[in-house]
Amino acid sequence: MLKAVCVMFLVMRRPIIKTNNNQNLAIPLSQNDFLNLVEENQGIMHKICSLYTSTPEDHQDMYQEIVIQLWRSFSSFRGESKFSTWMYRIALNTAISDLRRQGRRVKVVFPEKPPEQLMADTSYAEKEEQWKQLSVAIQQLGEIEKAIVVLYLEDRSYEEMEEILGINTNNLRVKMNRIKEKLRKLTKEE
Amino acid sequence: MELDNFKDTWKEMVPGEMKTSKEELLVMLQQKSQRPIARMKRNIYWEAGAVIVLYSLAALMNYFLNPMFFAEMSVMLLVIGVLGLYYYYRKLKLLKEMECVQCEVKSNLSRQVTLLEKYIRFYFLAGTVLAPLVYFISGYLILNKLPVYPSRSVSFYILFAGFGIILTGLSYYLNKWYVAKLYGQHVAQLRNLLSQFDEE
Repeated sequence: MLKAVCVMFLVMRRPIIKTNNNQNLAIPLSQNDFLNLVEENQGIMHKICSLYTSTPEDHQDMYQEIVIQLWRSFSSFRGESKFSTWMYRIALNTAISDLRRQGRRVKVVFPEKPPEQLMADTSYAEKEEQWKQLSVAIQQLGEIEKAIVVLYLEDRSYEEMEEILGINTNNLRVKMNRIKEKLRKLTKEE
Repeated sequence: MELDNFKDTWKEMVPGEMKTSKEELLVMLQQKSQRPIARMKRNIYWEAGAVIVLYSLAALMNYFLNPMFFAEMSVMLLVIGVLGLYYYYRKLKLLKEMECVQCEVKSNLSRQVTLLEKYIRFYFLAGTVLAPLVYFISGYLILNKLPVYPSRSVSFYILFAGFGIILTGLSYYLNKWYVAKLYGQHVAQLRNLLSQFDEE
């Protein structure tokens, strides 16, 4: 009887994770669920690694580190925040506080390959040039500014950005305007 | 150039050939973290293990080889060993608390700076105290237990204490330099990151 109550209690308090495919996953999750979630979200993790590293080796090392940190923290994820919020926090915390790689950030490997849709476009060359300029400009921003840009480009709300970074919404809006201005100036200079 | 114009491009962008398969992810999960804090934790486990084995062996050997004469030496070794274990326990505790990857980025960095500074203070203090502590205790034991020892004139004690003071001073400056070399840059970088949150 007691066992049944315990099981019911555990099942009832299992939080739900909404995946990108709108599937609901209940915790506790298996290693396979974890791998599915990482596979589904690996694009953003790779983009973060691209912004915070300068060589393919560093990129791969950082990606591996993020996966390890996610896996280690996975058992304590209780669904109190959105899965994406939780994932961004771990990925950005891992990337930003990786001070070893910051010292060697000397050359720019970004941008990665532009999307096919962009490549098929008639004005591809012009857009590609703009994209390159913007990518180089983003690389010149500070570590925290880069994190803000990533979240902005990922269309995260200011409220979610506050939850991830710990900067209040008003301050974020001010910072975002300044970053946009900075990027405008940087892309003009090139 | 407007950042907003690139939102769609960003979302559709696939970073190069970087797609990782489930099999590769599984291999990654078997790997050890290479972050400095994780490495420091692993080093502490090794060092603490070595201290337990070496100090216990030294104390036992010393006791069995010359039980009457050097019993105090065995006790001293055990005391230093226990102090060493406390030292490692404290370091490990600080390192475990130092990182919270699930926390907000700002609070995680702030926590890292605070606890790293605490860690450095403890490391510095322990390192500075160790050399004069061992010097004076060993001196006391040798002077009281060796059958043949130098004459205990006042000038000898002054010389002995003088060396101890010089050693303490040297230990202080050497540790200060070493701690700054080991962690100084790291703390400065963390502080710089933290200051970026408050930049106007």
